[in-house]
Amino acid sequence: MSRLARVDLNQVPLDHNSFIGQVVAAGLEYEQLSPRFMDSLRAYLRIRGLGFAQRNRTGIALGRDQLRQGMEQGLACMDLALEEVSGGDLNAAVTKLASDSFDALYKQGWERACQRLEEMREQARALVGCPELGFWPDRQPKVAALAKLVPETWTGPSAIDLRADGRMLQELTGKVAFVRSLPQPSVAALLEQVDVDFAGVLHRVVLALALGRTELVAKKEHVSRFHAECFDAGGLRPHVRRQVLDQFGGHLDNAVADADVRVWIADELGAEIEVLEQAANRGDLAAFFLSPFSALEI
Amino acid sequence: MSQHENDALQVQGDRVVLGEWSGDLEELIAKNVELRQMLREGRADEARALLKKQAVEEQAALVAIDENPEEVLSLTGMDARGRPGYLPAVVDKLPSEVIAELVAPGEYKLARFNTALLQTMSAESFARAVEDTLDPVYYHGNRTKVSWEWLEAVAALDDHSKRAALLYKVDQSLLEDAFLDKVDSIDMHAQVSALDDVGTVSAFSLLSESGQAVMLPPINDPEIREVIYALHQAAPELLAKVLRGAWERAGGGAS
Repeated sequence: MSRLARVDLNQVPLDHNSFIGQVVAAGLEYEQLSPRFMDSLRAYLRIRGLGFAQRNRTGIALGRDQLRQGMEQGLACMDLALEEVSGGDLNAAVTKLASDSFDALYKQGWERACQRLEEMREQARALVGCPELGFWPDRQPKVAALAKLVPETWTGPSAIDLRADGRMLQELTGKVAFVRSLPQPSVAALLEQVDVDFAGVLHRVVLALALGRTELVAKKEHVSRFHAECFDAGGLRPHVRRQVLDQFGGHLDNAVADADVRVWIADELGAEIEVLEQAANRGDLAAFFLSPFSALEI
Repeated sequence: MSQHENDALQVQGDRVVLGEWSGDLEELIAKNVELRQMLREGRADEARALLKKQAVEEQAALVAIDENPEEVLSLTGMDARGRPGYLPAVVDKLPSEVIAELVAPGEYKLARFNTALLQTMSAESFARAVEDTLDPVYYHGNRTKVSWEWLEAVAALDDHSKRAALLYKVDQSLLEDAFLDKVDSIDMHAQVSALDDVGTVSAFSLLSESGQAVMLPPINDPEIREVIYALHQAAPELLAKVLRGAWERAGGGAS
């Protein structure tokens, strides 16, 4: 017990944006939870962390990362259980947290976590080896690791974050579906360019929709037309913006089944339009479409 | 669950329990606070005197709950001239997790293992710590790593007879675990010159009972070789048996 104090795990790794984070904040603010609640939670999570670290140790000494991972797992399970039993209702969740034992919540959440991990493994396995993952090269090692995770022990080649990794897989699955809905010869040509990522795909989608083109491949003359016809001093011309967003929204509805991912992609598109507007103001649009590494102007 | 579960430090209501001993949790914490204060103010003699007044189990509990267990343990065997030392009776009462932490502290780059502690502890306590650290480990690859690190710690001891005493007390299959991913570095198929110079013999036969454990097969990896040689110097017959067992378990005998 003294070791845990020394590795400075005195802080409960509570994400205030998580459901349990909001529940705890509300419970403390409205005095539904005892003033010593955080001490109790910390003590419980330390025990969970210790158990996890002991099961997953790779040396005589316990690993600090494993201790923290065990604490985070305990919290993630309680988070899932609370969200499930309360149906997302904050008041009901506070009552549940105040009345149930931590261990009962943990056990309930563990079953749900196990199911979710199985789903995540299946999603990762479906993504591994997809050529479209080339637009997210930094995500490839994590996806490969998640394809090998063991739900029963919550272990894998790297640490697993149920929420962050789950969201990453959900997002990638939707985005890959979106990329697959685009003209495939163009996608194949973009995948051959090492410097084109998903933002680069969105830039080309904006250009194609603005100019009414069916090809994503853009040459110098297309970029010149794009700059001249679609932008003014205020950014993308209003009718062009409307045309792009309307067509994009319609396409997205058909291409991506997951409503959350549709929102994320649409938000990302909005952000990338801003990037293009700033580039247009600087007279720098060509840098986003014409590769300095290739004779091909895509 | 570990077979030594009762040796862990537990809090039961307002009591703290260590093995057969139990004491008042608040009193123990108060003594720890007092001890810490004395150490912070450099009053080591007073800290030592306070510690020595307690039963060995309570001394072990005070070591276990302190923010720097090694510092408090050093007081238990401190001599009259103020030279720090570990009291074997206290060491033998320490929970396995505390022993593990003290043996491989991690933060000292020059001395990877606390060999003074290994030298002090009884073979029974060593075996208990090895078993307790391995018992909960799920994945066999991790078990191999943990078991190997314990052997590295033993190999770091200068005292051959202590090395042998510690090794002989540990369950042989746990020692074999340490070598399951190391046997590839041992060339069991090599032909080596025998000591009596009557020709060559197969490396594996050096480890058989008839080989009398006088020699080891060639070992390619220098780090693995160093550990195995150190253990072989201390307990040749045991090591031959363990290597043979590991090689067979790893499927070496089938090829």
